[in-house]
Amino acid sequence: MFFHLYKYSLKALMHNRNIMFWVLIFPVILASFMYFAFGSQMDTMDDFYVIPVAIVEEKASEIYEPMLKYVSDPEKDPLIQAEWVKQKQAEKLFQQGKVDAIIYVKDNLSMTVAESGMEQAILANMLDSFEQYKQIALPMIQSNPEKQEEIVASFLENTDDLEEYLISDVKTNPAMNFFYAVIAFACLFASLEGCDRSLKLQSEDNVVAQRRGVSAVSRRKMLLADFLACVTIQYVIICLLFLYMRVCLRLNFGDKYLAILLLLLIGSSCGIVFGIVIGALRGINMGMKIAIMTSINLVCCMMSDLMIEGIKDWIWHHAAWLNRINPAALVSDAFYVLKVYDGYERFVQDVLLLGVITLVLMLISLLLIKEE
Amino acid sequence: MIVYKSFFSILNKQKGQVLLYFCIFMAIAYIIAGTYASDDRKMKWVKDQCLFAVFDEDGTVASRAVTHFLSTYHSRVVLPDQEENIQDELYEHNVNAVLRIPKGFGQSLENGIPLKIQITDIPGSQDSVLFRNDLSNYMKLVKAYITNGESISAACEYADEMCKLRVPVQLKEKEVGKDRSRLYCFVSYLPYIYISICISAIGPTIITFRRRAIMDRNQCSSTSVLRMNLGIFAGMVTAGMVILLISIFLVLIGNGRSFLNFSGVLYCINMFSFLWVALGLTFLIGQFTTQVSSLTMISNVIGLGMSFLSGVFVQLDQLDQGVVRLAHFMPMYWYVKAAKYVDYYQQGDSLAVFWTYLLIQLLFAVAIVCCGLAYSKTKQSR
Repeated sequence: MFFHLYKYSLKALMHNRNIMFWVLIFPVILASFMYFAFGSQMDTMDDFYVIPVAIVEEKASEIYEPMLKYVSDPEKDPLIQAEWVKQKQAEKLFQQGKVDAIIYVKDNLSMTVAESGMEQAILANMLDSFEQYKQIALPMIQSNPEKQEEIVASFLENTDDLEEYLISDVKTNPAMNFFYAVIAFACLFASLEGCDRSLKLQSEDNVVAQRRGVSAVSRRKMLLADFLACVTIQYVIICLLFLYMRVCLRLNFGDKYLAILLLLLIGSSCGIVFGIVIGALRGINMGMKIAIMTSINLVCCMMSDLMIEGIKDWIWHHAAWLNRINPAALVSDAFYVLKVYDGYERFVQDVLLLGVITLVLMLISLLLIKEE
Repeated sequence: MIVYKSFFSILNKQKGQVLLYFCIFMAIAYIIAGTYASDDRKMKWVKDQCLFAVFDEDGTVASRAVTHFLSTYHSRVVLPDQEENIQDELYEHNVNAVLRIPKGFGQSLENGIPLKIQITDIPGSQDSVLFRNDLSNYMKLVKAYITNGESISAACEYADEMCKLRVPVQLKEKEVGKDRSRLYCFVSYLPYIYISICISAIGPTIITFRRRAIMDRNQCSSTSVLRMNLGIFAGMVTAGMVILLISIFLVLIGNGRSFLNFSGVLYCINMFSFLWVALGLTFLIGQFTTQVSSLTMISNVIGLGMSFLSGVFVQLDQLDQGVVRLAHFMPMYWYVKAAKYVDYYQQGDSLAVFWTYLLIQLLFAVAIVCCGLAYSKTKQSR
């Protein structure tokens, strides 16, 4: 009997195109659009690139010219890619966006930029250091002009003052939070399946629920069969989504696949049970139930960086308890931890919290689903 | 008139959806404007700073001087000394570099073989390059003065003074830059809202009128097909204008007086032209689909898809060049270009480019409606 209930619950879910769209097609589309928008550049988004500049030499300089040539030498790890041009050409390149700044070389240096960005800050830093070195280096060059290159190099070459210390050798980018949030979104929107099955079990104005209600089978048994059917379908779907993101979009989630599979199972179960609870509420019509469920899901996903980056982190700093009861934030955090850290301590904490939320919701649903 | 009134009685059932989308818009716009708006930066040169944390295990004059120097030109953040916490803060970009000054640093500097300062950052990133260059430059100056016979405290003092030398930087506006004003942050999300609301709210109304049973009943009535279509068209336009007015009102609430100028008028004209695109898309989709339940799916796919690829959710300068070329075929891209142009508009600038962007949007609207009409005609003739 149980298997019979389970089988027909599976069939009913698979025939519901609306639900299949929201739990499978929509996350795939969302992840694809995100990937096309910025995913392919994620690994290099914050990377430093040689900065293109135009240099207008209004007056020859024995100190600035060798410095600028040193930092633009392709054989010496250059900071800038310099084009030595006239004023008009420099303006043209600047307006076309082919250079980030125009550097004017006279008695002193000056610079024209279009905005206050990181590249412009690096250039300003470089020019400030030239002015500073000039105070010390110029007298030396004037007394030993044949050693000009040597003196310039001694100021500009990289010194060994810093020692790199990496906590994790995994390259990360907070833009991955969007993709973790998409998976969390897919887990939470499994609540549509749970709600659908719950409405067909409990709802006063649903014909199927009324027919099931007069059967000899216990409603709780039916609920369990429905729940397992939802978990089966949703788990396959979420694994397909993960596979798509890993293989087709080539997003790096780390290599702890067993832990990821466990996380997907618990995340999906949590979403499904949430839907069951909402569907089992009495005195609220179907449209209102779906609206409440969708709103809560969207808010949870928004708080785990689905729409805007940085919200989850802000909540961690100001109201961490909120992230600990938000299933989307827990799923997202678990993914991050699996990728970055070697240990499983925090991952286990996240999964346990998800499990507790799932259990509590399951108990509530069992209380709400009453025999009549 | 009866068709026009019927249009609104059907539309009235969708008011919940309309309210929901406007609430989403206000929430997103406020958060984005609060986080990313940079009205000052367009007007004057402001040097970017890095966020850094220091764990000073030395506590000497030299180590304190290094910390003081970095605090002057960058922002110091206080962090607990735990690796997990540091890693999380680096990941979220709440800190760009974490320094650990080893014990004995000051003494080693005096001896001429300074100990290395440990740095944890994101290697190869722009923040890392800026911060490391600043620190290395300062250390070079300090060591140069110490080599010249100065004491550590004097060397640090002279190095501090030397670092105050700044090259003058002039901010010269290009046609369009990367920074965005608060007002731009508000209006840039409207295309997504317009498409979502028009398809989700007005779409069901069009589908209802196209239902076989209702069309057959209407054809038996004394109202001509032309009057019926005019009634539906008038209903769509009226609904669109109401949506436009509500969105203008919401942008006004969020921005106050900064919206009440010539740029505000240009933004309104831009919003008006894109609204026709949204209405055209609604009309086209209404010809293809007969299921109301599928409208939400379609609106989200089209709305989100265009928003991600056209520079609404992700800035145009952050998109891949291939994606930007593809975006040229989307009307939302031209809305974003026009909005960006207005954001950088100064009194006396030519508006020819702006009108061009508007015209392209309206041409898209016309093309979309023509496609809808052609499909409808083909279906009828079958």
